[in-house]
Amino acid sequence: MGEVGTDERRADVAVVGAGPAGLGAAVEAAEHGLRVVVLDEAPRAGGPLWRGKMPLRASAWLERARRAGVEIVSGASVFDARPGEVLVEANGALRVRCETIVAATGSTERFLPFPGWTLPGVLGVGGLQAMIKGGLDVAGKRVVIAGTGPLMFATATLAREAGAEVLEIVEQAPRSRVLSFGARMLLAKPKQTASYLRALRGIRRSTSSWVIGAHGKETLNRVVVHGPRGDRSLDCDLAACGYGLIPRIELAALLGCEVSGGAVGVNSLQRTNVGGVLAAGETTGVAGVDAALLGGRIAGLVAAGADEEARQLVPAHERARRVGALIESAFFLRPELMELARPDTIICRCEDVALRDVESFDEVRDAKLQTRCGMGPCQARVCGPALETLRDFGRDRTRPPLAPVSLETLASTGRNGSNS
Amino acid sequence: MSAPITIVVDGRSIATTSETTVAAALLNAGVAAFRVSVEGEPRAPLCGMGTCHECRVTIDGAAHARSCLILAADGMRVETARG
Repeated sequence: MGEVGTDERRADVAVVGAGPAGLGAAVEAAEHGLRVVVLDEAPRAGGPLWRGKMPLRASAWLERARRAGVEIVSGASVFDARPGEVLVEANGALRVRCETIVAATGSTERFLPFPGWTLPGVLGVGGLQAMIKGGLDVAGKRVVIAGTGPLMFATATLAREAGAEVLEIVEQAPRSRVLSFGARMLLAKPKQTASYLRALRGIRRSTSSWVIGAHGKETLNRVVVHGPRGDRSLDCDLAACGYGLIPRIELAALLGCEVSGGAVGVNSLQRTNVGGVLAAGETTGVAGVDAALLGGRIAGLVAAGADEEARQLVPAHERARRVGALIESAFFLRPELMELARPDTIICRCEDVALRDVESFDEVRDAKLQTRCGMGPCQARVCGPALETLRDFGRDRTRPPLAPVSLETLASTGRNGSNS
Repeated sequence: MSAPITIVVDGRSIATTSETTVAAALLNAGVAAFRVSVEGEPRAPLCGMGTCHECRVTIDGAAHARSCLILAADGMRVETARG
């Protein structure tokens, strides 16, 4: 039946993503006696924020998962799924048959193209954080961190601790909004906020400012920052530029889940509109670790049929999610950022499609078919959100495979085209 | 848990550790271009988490490996676009 070479698993719950939401779901479900398999793309569990030097809380949840008998498959890329079945590329093909799928796929960065953004040395803000946690040596490197939102503070702190010379944090939001956000966070999470502020002492911070260009021969050597007092050039080795986080919704969309406002729709018990599919964490809306963990736990309890226990966590979850709304209201993007890209600025990095090539289209699907924009390996994960923000393009349908897979894997899993 | 290891990048021996991603190891070794774009531009990691695919290199003969998602292993052979 074409299934030679496919590893098979049977589980009660398949959790996709081993960040706080995925781990929370896995632990609760497993502690209620369910057989749980967690599939995670990264080489180590924990998600982008809990990886590397793990905070105590992260280790505790991983340990609980281990003790509860959760199986975590790392280096596992889900490339196709339907209710009851998840297909994975993990050094060979893997099929997981299950009763319930929990989509805990997290968030990714929003990149806004600007001249020179494709130069080696320009990374995302989360990108730099991930690379440092992955072992990137930044000791003595001059780093500029630009874009918007609190993620920049976390990255600046990490870079500094790793020996980098953080030249400046460049925030596009105006000072008044940043200060009011800081004040509210100080009230809501005093210890954490105070420790952040201490860690950032001595690092230059600018507001109402943004990077308008990155320059260098084959790699980055300086960026130009535009601010209220004009433009200035900063010599640097690395520039981390990213404009906030957006939910990763591809898996949920493939499963037929409703996506609205860029996030997977769920009710208060983390149920999507598709039977057998729950979603939790950033994929349901960017709101930070606390909210992700609580949302994941609710999903795990629901998967185990413990709806009453799940309901008890809902008020705390709703409170935690307010952080997301706070961030959105403080750091929304100013219109000038939509005009950074010039006609010859690359929009689709995979296929080298420039802004002038896609400007004339109204529909993302036309742009895609005429120019190949969005048809490269990243499947519009970078240019898609950029074009949504810049030109109000909608998203195209999500179809399998979700990531490039070998012909061998496709053949051995016996998939012969998309369904529904 | 982290052990010193050696990988081979475009024929060059590079010292790194077993808890370092291939992408980080390449950048630490001074590799500027992981791949070359359609128009011939050098490209290197952007997102660090497997979304952008800019970090793709050939690992042990298998093309299109997202190096930011793969830990370096002793004896691994990596080829970049310029290798």
